[in-house]
Amino acid sequence: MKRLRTLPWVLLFTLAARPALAGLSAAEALALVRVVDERQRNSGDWKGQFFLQQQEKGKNDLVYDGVYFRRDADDRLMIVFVQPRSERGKGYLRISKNLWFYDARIGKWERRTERERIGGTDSNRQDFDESRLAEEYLARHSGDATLGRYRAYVLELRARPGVDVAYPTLKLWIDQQSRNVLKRQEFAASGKLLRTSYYPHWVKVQSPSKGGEVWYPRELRIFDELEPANRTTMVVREVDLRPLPANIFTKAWLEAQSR
Amino acid sequence: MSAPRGRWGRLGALLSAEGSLLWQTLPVVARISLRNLRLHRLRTLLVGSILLLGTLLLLSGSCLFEAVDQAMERTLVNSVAGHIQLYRAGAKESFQLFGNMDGSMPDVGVIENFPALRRALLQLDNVATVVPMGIDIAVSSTENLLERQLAALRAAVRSGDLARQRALAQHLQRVIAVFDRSLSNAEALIDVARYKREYGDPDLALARVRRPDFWSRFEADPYDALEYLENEVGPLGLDQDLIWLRYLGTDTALFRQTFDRFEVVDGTMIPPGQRGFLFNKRVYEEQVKNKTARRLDLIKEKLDEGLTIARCPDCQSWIRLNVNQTGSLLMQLDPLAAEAVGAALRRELGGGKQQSTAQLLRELLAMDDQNFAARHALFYRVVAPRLELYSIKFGDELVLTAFARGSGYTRKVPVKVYGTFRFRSLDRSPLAGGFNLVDLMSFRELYGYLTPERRREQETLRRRAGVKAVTRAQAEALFAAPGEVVEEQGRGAAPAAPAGLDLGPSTGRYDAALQRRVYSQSELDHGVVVNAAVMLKDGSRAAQRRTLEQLRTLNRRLGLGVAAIGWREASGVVGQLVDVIRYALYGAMLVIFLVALIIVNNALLLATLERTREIGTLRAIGAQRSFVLRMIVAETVVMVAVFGGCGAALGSAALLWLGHHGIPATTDFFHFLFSGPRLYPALAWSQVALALASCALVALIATLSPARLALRVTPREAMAEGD
Repeated sequence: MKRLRTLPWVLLFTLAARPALAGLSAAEALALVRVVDERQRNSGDWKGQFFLQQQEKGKNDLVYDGVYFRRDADDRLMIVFVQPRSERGKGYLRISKNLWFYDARIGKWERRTERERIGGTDSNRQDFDESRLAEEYLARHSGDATLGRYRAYVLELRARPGVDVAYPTLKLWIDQQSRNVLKRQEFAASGKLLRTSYYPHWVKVQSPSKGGEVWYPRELRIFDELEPANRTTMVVREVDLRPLPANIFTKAWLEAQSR
Repeated sequence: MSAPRGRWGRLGALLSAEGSLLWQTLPVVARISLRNLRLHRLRTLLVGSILLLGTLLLLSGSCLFEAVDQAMERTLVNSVAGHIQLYRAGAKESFQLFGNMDGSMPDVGVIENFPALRRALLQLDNVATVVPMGIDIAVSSTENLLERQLAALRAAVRSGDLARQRALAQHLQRVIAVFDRSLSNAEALIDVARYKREYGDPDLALARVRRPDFWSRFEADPYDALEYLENEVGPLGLDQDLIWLRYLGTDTALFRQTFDRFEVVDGTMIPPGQRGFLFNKRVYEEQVKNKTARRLDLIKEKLDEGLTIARCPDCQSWIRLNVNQTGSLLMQLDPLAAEAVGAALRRELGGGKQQSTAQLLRELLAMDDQNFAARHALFYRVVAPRLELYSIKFGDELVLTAFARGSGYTRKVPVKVYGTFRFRSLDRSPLAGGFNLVDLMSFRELYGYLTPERRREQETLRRRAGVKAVTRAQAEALFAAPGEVVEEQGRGAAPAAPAGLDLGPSTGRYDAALQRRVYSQSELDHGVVVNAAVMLKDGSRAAQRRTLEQLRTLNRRLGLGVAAIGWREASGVVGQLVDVIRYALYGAMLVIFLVALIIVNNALLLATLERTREIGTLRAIGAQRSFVLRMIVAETVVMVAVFGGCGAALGSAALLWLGHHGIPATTDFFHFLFSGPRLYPALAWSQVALALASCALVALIATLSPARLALRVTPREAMAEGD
């Protein structure tokens, strides 16, 4: 297992040794995606506080403060809104392939789809979840680009056959130095661009379970390409990687929080 | 005696002389005319029939239209529209009570200060009531049977009701067993490969549930078993139903007082000042009722209309669906109910002991013209009482989900269902019968108006997050801004791991106390009101016009900030339907009269040509042109009087008969158009006079060119023709 985890870094070293403008092979591009995943992988539990805002032309803003929990080993995720008061206790719970929504004011659960707009914003479940790009997609190096002060690899990712993902095609701009994602574009099966996201600010924390550092985007700016005036801002304020209570990823736990 | 002076004097003298001559020659002219009409019977009958038919059609058409117009006005005004509708002045779209053509509701904003508006309007003498309203569309999910059962079981576990928990667990076990058996046919119903990709292998998911110890150990750890069932087994039930509901939020007590077409059909009215929901009876039957039972109702309706199953392709299709979907029917029956249904059907249908309940149900539902009546009755006697006939029952909580107007985000509000209602006469109209009723407080929460308090709360959250506004154009500059830190060291000391979130009770939780709360009139009046219906004391058309003008003047003077429109305009397509019918009627009458004009004209022209010799002879013996003209016109007048009169009499008799017996509405469209099951037209003498006048006008116009031809005939021409 440990050898498997070191493999991306060996490939990464190989990448760094190549001439800057040389194209990456498909294997190298996929290795780069594995590095992106690996930098964000935690292995253990995760708790983060977030701010989420949706702005649309001619409409009132949606603004939330909340907490999200992850247990990546079991593929579990919980998002709970804490503010504003009217939204307090509402939340999402992902258990394996199921995404549930809980409305604390009503006390009922509803099954939601993979494309659920979290809290009515342009963010979706994947923006809160562990990065599993290499598991879900095949990569191709389509060129290099400059984003402000950064040189970036531009990779095109296509969903692996038989894997159910929200977006069949992605385009990633990966910082050639840090290997952090700077920009991401998501496309529909027809090739239509749906979302463009920017990750201008990355933070690293020490993970006891991983025994190393974990990177996460502190700020995420999502622009809706179908409705150009719509945009979402997500800010992750604090991350705690220590173990969570065993029963936290259950419906009963979330129900109990707002009783 | 001196000669008259001047042009007008001479004309007066001429008319006076003509008048005197007319009276003197009238008996002769009348005799000649009647003789001519008798002589040319065929022509007389042809022209006369056309005049008779035209008069009859015009009279009956205009009276029928008037009846439809008045019926629709009564229905719309007294069911939901009121005489006048008010909405915010300068709104983005114009108000449409029944929504846009695409089914959406127009965005008309909200009325700024409803209490002040109502106070001002009640100063007008003719204003009786002003009813606050708001109309929108919500969706409600009935979930699939499996998920409904799971939700009920979770609620029972949560409440600690062990008896209910056991009963529900037993039923759920049966539902899953039936579902398990039906999986063998799954390939025919669903894309199994895709299903497995999305939800995993159903066989694998059910393996744990098939083990006998799963259910025997259920009570030991119900939450663990529930989590498994909800996440692994729940998605297997694919038949989730979404109900789309157009709802009208209002002060329900005031609404009931104001609109006399409103009546509760089943259940009870929402208690005054409380939250609650009433289903439109039609919606309840169509969308909430068990599908098999509903299809049987539809077949019965068709047969009651005189159709037979053999001649009704829809009925045959409904029967096929019922037979194919006995599995879902069986799933709804708990073990005891299934056994009882099986025994009763075996007895009634004469089936053998080896026949299963599923086979017996299929046999029951395979209906034809011979057995329909008996089997329909058998279904309602034996099966229906043991089914969940309606997925939402009175007293249940219905969760309405609507897109908030302000943000576009969905909002959910649970409301207690009190019963069903109908607007008398509108209930069978799919277009106008689709309103459901909800209290004003629930409507406001679904509307999602951003209050100043909530706006301040958002500002605080934004400030705390310290987020800068970045537009799309500025996004790439995030990577170029000097001093922008892309990587930084995370916090060394992480906060303590959470034992809980300690959210405390959720604000405004929709608990039983909230559902029971009685809101004061002031609370009902102060808040979001999208539109308001004004009901007048005197609803005559003239009074409506007068009050609308007074209201508009008051609105300008006091700056009330509303737009006021009449019921017809507010009813949009529905109200304009009457105009469409009106124009169609006028168009049809115009065409009929044009055709009549041409036929009558040709017939009279031919008759005049035939009579050239006779006219010439008359002229030769001293008859003036005016005498010839009088003779021709007299013939037309006699025809109008006789045949137009007959048409008017026949039309009047038919209208009097229809006014007594009524015209039956054979389809839902006519039901709506007639504002009820029958239309009772009334005979109006003004319409009789109008029809006769129109008939006379057409006949006289048709006489113009024959008369002109007759006047040109000279004695010499007549003689020459004779030679």
